[in-house]
Amino acid sequence: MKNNLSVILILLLFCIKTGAQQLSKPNLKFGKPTTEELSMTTYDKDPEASAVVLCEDGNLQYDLSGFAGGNILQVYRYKNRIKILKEEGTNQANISILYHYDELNQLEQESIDEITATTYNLVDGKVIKTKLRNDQIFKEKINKNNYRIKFSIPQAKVGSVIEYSYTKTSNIFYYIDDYYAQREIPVAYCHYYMEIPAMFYFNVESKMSSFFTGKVTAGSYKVRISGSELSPNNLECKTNIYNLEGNFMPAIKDDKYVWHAKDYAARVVAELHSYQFPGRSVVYVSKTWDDVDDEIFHIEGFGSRLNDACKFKEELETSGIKNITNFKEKVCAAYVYLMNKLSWDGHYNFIPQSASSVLKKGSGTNADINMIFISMCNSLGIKAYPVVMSTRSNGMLPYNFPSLQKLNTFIVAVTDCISIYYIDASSTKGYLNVLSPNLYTDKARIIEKGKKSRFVNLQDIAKSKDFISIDATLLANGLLTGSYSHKMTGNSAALKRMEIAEAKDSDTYLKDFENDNKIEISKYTSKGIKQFSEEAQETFEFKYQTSTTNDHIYLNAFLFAALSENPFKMQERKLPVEFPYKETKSIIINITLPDGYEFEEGPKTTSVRTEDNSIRGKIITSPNGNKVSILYSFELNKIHFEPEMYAGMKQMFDKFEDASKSMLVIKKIK
Amino acid sequence: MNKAILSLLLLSFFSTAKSQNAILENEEDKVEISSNGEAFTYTCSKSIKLLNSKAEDYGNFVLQMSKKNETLNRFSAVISDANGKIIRKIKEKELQKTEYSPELASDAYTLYLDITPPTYPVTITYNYQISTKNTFVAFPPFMPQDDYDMSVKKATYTIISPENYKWNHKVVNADIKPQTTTINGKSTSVFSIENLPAVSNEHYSKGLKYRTPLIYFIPDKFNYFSTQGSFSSWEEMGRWHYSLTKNRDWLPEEAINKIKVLTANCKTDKEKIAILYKLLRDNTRYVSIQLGIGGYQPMMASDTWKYAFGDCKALSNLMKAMLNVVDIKSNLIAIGTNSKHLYRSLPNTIQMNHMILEVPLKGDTCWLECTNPELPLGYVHDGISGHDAIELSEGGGKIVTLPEYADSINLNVTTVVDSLHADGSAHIKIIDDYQGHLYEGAYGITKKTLEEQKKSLISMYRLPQPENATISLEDKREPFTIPRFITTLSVTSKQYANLTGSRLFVPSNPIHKSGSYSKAEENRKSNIHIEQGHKTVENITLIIPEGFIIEGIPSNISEKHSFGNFSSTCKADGNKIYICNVVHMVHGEYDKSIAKELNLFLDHVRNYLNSRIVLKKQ
Repeated sequence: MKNNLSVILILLLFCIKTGAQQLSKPNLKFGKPTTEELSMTTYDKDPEASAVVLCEDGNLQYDLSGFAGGNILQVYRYKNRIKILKEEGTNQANISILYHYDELNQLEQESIDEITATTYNLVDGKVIKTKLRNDQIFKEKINKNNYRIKFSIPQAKVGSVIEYSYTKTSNIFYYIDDYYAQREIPVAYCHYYMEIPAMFYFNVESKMSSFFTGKVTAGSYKVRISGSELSPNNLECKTNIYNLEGNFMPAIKDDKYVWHAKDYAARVVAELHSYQFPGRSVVYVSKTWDDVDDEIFHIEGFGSRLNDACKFKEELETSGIKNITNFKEKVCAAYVYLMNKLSWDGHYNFIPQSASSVLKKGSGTNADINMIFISMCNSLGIKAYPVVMSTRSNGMLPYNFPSLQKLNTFIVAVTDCISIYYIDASSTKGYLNVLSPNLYTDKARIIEKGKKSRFVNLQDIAKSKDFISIDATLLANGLLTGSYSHKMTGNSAALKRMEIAEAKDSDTYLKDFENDNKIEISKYTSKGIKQFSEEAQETFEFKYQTSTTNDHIYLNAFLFAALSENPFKMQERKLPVEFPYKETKSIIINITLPDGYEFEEGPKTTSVRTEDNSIRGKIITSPNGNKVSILYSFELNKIHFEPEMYAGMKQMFDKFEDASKSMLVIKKIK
Repeated sequence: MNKAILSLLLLSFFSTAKSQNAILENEEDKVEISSNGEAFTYTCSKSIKLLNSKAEDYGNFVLQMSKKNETLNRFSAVISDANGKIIRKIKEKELQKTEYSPELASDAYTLYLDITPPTYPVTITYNYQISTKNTFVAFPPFMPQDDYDMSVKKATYTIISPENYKWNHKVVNADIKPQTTTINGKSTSVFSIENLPAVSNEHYSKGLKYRTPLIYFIPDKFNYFSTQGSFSSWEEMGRWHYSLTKNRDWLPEEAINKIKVLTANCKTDKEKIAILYKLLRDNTRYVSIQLGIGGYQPMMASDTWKYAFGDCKALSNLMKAMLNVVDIKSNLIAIGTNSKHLYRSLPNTIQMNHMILEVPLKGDTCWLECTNPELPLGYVHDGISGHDAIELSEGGGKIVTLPEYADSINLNVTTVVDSLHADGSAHIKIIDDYQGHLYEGAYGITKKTLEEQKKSLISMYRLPQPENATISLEDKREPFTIPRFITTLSVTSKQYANLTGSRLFVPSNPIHKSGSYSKAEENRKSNIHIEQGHKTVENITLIIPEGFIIEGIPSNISEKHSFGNFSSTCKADGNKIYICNVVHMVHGEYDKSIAKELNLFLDHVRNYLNSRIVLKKQ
């Protein structure tokens, strides 16, 4: 137990601006709010905050007294002091604490105890204390494994200082709760202390910043182990102490175009790496991603099933899928065959249930169905592997150590030994490589038994293309008639399929399209909408009334194919921008002008791009006798933009927005 | 790709959607009341055929239960395919259970089952039975058509009671008479519904519960958590409810003193009410606790005072107690935010879900929403205005109706001054004045931070590339008057107008963002219902840049219809263009035949509000 001073605390320094003001000393004493705390009416670092955490104290220690009986406990003690500054801030006094309690498994049971809560109000210069009563604490069973403690702290109102504390005891000693130092309200001071017996070696990663710092030291304490005959009653236990402190941390607020805002919050996450009980050798739980792979193979219902044959093998034999020679077509046929048998229940999961129970139910999570798909591929001679990941909305994987507990789902990779394609049960409206954007993580791991697994960036495979072409004839009365064709590839096709599936019926879909675009549609046709394919297409003929004066006809240069509004309105942004996927869009419009009219003016031919080509686009207007054609193209080649790049990115979008409003002016020849 | 492969690639669940998604093949509900009238069992057997993937949710099972008085005796479900072959059997143990609730505490829990059918069509049959003991104020209602786009083949509701046991019922949206027989001291009544065509969810239509047969069943006398009451009249219902609130409105000495000090200098009752309403706002917050009789009985006012939180009943009761101290009499009011009209012939409690306070002042009754004392004092909000309610007093219950604001009071006046520059940018000032019920939607912005306020104001309008925004908010609320909320935004829109060659194309106003309206279905089944009338007035001044002349401006228009009026005028004067748009929608129910007229009207309005002014360089 001596070898563990080598723990490294990795400090990731992120450049986040802070108002580097002089720190006033935090009040660490609970039960005694200061006059300053009681009388403050705003928080000067964030004058608009509805409430501020004045002091948070988190503490994790291990209780080894039951060690001999195999009962190792984690004891988390949390204390909070919060100042309520606005009416909206009173909801900080409605507390809800989630905990895990598995009725059927004594080894996974947590409890919440020692709840106290007090409100301090300054009334006529006097401090009035109001305590939470025990009968005001309620327990709620959310499901078989999860409970929630709820209480509302009495007398909490604008101006109040509230304090609450509780202890969470957990026998899930190998799992340490994530600690987030930043919240939706600002935190003036927080302290987090973890003392972990050196027999447990956790990988610890802290997302630090200039306002959240810490250090690791070695410590020890005496443990009294009850009921043990082998060891002396008092044992010295060496520990590693993580001491972290945060000062004046800004609130973290969600924004559009961010999958998981907490990815950008200061925090501490830990995962068990290895442990060594006295007199035993070291047991490695996970050391490298290869070990994690290995662990995944050993998960019940996972690894053992990867080589399973399909449950409905005979049926599959007669389906004709086996005889398809084209690899992609074969994979798609197998997928569609399965998805006509089973439906996705809307949930993502990591561990699949048994194939027979899923087949009996007729539906399942993506994990359930994906695992059956792998077995189908096995029977069809298609090489298929699970690709494990943390979905984008679940947050990024830790940077510095492998993590099993963060993985929350897997998709399927199939290969013909030349190319790899990805497929998932949740993406029936997509195609190979056309998945729900939530699955396009930059760090997914292909797991192949007996071979070295590797990471893939799924953001590279995602593509969305739109190609719109419009051929139209303009009449002197301003009526424009013509044909429209929209070809979609990849995620754009998937989006269209979803839009059509969600419409009440096909009639309503067209009516809405007409209404939104102020056109009349006839001869509508579509391709690839009901099919599992890469592309889809819509075509129709239309009538569109433009505006006219005696001498002029005015119309939007892009007609109804105009781009949507720039979603980025604010001049500054705190969080990065994360797009769903890369995309390209092209529009070609040809208009034949009425006799006796000519082109007077239209959008200027321009071309713009960012320095790194991550965004680029162009417009070309070419009048040609009694015809005008306009060509527009836009490309988004990158999906992650840091806040520093926001201004430049916004500017590009502004330009496209301008362009999309360009007008064509058609003039009567005099 | 050959045809065989193509067919393999077709996903069967992309069905061609028609507006019928499911058929309720059969529903048999049975309520059997025990011989002493203190308990009943409810047995339900229900078979529903899901025709396509749009019906996915129709087969889900959700049951709200109470820990205190309800037990599930049995449950089973069977799923069969188009040929009637059973593909899955579901047992009671597969039901999921959760106590999850947004309330701080309640007796309720939910049993549920999510079913994702593998194929369509599929038939799901549920059989279950619940027993309710000792304590109930209603029997389950009968509404077999509980979703849109679902037809009903056959449904029956049987209620069996001891001969001398009295229950009341009310049939809504249909004319259904029960068949009643009496044998061996037991009376059996059967209500049947057959062949209901699917109801489509159309724009501008009333909700499903106003369009499909619905029957409520209420006991004439009842026991509820050791209290006894009667629904023989609204007066009796109110008598029972009042008895639960009686003697719960006293306050501790300390509170009484505080109230007296605060109101010492008040000259009128209205002044006292205003001070105490503010005290309520500053000192309490809404926290919902619904345990046992506490679903109907308010917390003691002294406790609400002590903890400074409570639900609608507790907060109304506290306000009542505070008013007692200054000798102002008030009455608790039971009201339904979801039921505008109470069934006069069927006294019940299930139409009500809320409590407020009535203060009868001389010639002017004041209604206090104590759950949200942030609302201006005396303002009757959208969720309760015009609603029937029950006044609870010593004399029992009395039906009262809350005041309703005229359509013209729900007014939005927008004033815009728009100075345009030669490059298409514009400095724009928009003042929006919201009155009446429109206040409610507007004042929520005060809860946001300045940055968020800017963001939300900017995004309300059509202001491309906004820069240097400054805003101001004015909450004009005087007690007992119609509230107004005024927002002012000054902003530079870098690309307000589009400069194309020598022309500037200028949107005639920056107020309206999108061009799309919900249109009324023209082959509709339901009448057109405009729930809330309102009036919007827009006065826009556009200052055109030097060196430009007007090439085109919108013409004037004025049209009048039964459901609303619209007028727009546009006039140029020197370097200024003045535009005035008035839209007035009149609340009410209109025959479905006006759908086309309404759509044309909406098109006109849209086209005018989105019209463009063309300026040309001289």
